[in-house]
Amino acid sequence: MTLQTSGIHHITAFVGDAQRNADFYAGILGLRLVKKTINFDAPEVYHLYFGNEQGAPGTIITFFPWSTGRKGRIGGGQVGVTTYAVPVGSLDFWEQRLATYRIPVTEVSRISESYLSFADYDGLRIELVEREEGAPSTWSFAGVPVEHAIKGFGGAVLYSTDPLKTADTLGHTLGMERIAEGDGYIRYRSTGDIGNIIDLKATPVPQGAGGTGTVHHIAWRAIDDAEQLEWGILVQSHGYQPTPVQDRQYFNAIYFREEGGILFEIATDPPGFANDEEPDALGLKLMLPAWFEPHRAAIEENLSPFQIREIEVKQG
Amino acid sequence: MIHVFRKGTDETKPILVLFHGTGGNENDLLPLADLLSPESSVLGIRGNVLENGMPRFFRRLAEGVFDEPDLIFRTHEIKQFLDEAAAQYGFDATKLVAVGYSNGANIAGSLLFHYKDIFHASILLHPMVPLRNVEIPSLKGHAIFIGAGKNDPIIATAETQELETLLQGAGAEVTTHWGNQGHRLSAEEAEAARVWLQRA
Repeated sequence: MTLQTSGIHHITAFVGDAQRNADFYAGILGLRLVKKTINFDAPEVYHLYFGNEQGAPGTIITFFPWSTGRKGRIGGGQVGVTTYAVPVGSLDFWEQRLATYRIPVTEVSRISESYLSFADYDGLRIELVEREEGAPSTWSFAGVPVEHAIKGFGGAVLYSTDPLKTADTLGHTLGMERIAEGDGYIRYRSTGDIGNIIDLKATPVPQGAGGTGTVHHIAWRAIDDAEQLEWGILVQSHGYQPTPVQDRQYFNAIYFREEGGILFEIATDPPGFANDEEPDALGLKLMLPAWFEPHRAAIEENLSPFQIREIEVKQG
Repeated sequence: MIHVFRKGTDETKPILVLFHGTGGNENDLLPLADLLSPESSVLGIRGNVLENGMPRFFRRLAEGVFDEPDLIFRTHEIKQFLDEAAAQYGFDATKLVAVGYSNGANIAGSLLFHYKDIFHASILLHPMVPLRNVEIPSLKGHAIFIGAGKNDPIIATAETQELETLLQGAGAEVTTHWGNQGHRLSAEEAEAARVWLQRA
């Protein structure tokens, strides 16, 4: 059996304050909040999803803002860097924009590409790269014009405690193509035109610790529930024992931890974020799964409100 | 706390304290106790936290990401319960052996991290590192059996190794059994724990 994931479905991380999280990803990066819901295991914690206009697979970053959470440590067994793709010719715009918001940026190069590298307010490592591939964004917010707007994930940099085994899983289990090696990284490509370039750090990274400012898991795309079933069987045949299918409202998910320590999820493209909201009203209302709806008043009271807003630039 | 106490037939045997995994209850691990030490007295405890209706010993925010203030609160709550149970049932609190699976192994680990000499020995089946950056009391003379799965979808190999290192650093004698059954509790692992307990 041969299956190939088309690439990243979403990436999920823990952060601190919800307003600062929204300010960074909407106010500075110009992404759209496509869903505001709660952590189903801890209803006093939001679950926020940011992506392109419709929150297409390959564009979605999700957060659990957890103000009392202990700070994590980025390391092995995690996604070390999340890469966003912007249109060719956009890096200058972004360099200036990040400077305007006093975000320290460094320019780095990896496997013949240039990246703007920076951290969000909680220490998550982000980078921007120019790519031809990927549909242009149609979402413009907070002064990011569509011609420079983030298209979605370019990919991710994986930190493994056992890169040989992680490489084997990327290539032989997920069906990605190994296309390059250099600067201490092994590059994989998947078939999608977004979220499709994965760089694996070739040397083992000492294990990190989960907590705020770290990525919790990375999800790979499955076309539908039927393919997800095949993925489950395939993953098992490679010696992993994936979890049963879990209903995440906007996709279905199975999880397994690859041998380099990174928590992998395989998530279905459907049903998507317009499942329970109109496409032009995504993210405006707090959405709760049916079993929490009777407790809406109490849940809303426990959540500190935040706004999607433009951030004032401090002068001087 | 909701619990079950079953008096054993041989008072010289260790007293097993059972901590179930997520979604289990106080009776879940009784068959395991029968296998490990059939003559022992057994105290099965049900976790006080509910996650979507499933009992747990403490809250988490996601797989492997614990609500640490709740974990610490629940750890002290269980210590208090163990003291009360010792008085109520008249068992020898110096002969307790923790038997925990998954979430239950993590609360047992947290008890070890907080209280010196709380258990005489511990069987931790598919545990994680309960807390980081805390000072662990001396575990000198304490024997610990860890059951781990090479393909455990929940727990990274490196995390099991980190826990081993932390426990050994505190002076414990750690025996780790690596199985191939993922996060499941296998018959082979239970048998290894039984053989280990006879020598502990």
